[in-house]
Amino acid sequence: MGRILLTLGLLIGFSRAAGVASFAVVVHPSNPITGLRLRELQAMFGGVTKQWEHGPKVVLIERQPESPSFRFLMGRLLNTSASEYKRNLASIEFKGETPVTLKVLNSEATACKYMFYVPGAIALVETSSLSTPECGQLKVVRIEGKLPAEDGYRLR
Amino acid sequence: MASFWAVPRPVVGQDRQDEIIQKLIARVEALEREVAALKQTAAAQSPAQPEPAPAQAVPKQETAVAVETPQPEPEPSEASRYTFHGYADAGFQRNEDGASDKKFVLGEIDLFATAQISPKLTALVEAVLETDNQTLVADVPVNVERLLLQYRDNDYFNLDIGSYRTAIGFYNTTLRASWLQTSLTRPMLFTFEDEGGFLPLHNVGLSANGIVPSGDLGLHYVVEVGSSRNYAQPGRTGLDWEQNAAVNVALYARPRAIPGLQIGSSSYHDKFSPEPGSMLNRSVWTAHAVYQAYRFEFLNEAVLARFREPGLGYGNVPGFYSQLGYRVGSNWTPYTRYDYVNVYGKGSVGEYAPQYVPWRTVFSGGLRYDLTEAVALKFELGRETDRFQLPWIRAALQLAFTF
Repeated sequence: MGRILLTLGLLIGFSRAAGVASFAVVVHPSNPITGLRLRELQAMFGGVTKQWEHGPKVVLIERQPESPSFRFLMGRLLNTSASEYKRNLASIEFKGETPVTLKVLNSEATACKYMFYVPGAIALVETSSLSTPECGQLKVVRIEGKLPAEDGYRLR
Repeated sequence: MASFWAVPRPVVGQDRQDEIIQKLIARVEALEREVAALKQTAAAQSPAQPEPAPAQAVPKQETAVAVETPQPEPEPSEASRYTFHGYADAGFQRNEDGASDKKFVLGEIDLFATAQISPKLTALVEAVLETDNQTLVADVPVNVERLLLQYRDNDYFNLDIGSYRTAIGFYNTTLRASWLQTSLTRPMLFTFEDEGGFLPLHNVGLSANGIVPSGDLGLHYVVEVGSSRNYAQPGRTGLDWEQNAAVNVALYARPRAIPGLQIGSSSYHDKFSPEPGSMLNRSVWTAHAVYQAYRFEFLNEAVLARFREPGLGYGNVPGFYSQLGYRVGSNWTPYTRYDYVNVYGKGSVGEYAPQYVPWRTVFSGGLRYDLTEAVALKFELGRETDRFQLPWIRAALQLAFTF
């Protein structure tokens, strides 16, 4: 655990120095999941998967449109635009299906703090935010088997 | 005033405050014990370090680990969850039906609301103010598109009771409001019944739907039993509910390996009465392949409708449409669509069918520009061919929005 945190810290420092934006997927500490495929992550944020395998409803925690994490979510992870994304989520509800539960918060710290109260929450946060007390207590999920500190991590 | 402040506070409130204070005190004591225990542990593990280093690689992270993690609390109750969305549009049309001039038009106002009335029950209402069919200032037709009580127990079995849109193909279940649609117009195959459409797009009854355990194939089923509508057809003056059971079975797949892809088919059967006194057996088979992801929207649907009555002959209506759109940049989506339908048959039904479905082909092309997340501007040109008039080109501009 200590090694992971140290590596993470070094990565944060390196990323800041090099200007490379990196994003981590965080979930509630009680969530038993340890890793996700990129496709599974896209399905969650795209509103296709609305329930965790262990039961709770997926609650998407997102930042406001001008934030780096939201821009990364739209432009890189989902390859969509904010208006198209809104339309897709509205379509799901319009079809009569269970609507996507989405909460938009105005800072990484607020988002992480909010997640403590929602066991089914998942969020995409800047890796640098993991050093804050609010986000540091959340569980970082491996994406395609890799953590943000590891080579080949996809969310950069 | 002084006497007011001198009045003792209600006893009930005081008891509640005392109880909260007692709980807080107990909580503080528990935290103090935990902190003491942690200090002892830290001291035992590293006796040579009198003070922790002030700045390490991830000091805050370690501090955070020492702080007690708040216990997960249950999610806020959604028992009273209520959502509302409105969709509307206004625009300008030129030569819409081949015989009309240019005009400004007000589109529909689609009001959509859901309310979760218990953990497993949801009410869904969709009412459309058809201002495009308005004839008098104080006479706006209101169409209750959907009114459903939805029972949601698990992913495998859900039951809807009420007025629903039939699961015939893809477009009918997914898209109605102009803002939700990429294109300015709907595919001609899915013209609404009250505008001359030949497909049964609305029924009243029961609809069961859910997931078929199929792994990565992502199979879903829909089984509907209800009564179909016949209205606004020649010889009719208004809505007429048919009491003949309409049955529809649909199956579609959303493979996990290809997000955005949906492939499916449906089989629908009912009794159909295009004019008073007649009763035809109507069957509708559909197949669709749709891809909506990564900037692409590629919609393909084929339909075969068959109307028959022993002694009166039959009429077959095969048709399809294909629509392709691609988002350029963040806001521009050019699109094109081709609609085709054919009508043939025998006997009096076969003779009548072409009058019921007069159009042959529509070739449309347009552009959608999302002005904001909630407002879209669309422009569309279309060339339509018909059995009873010369081909014509129409143009339309539309501002569609949601609120």
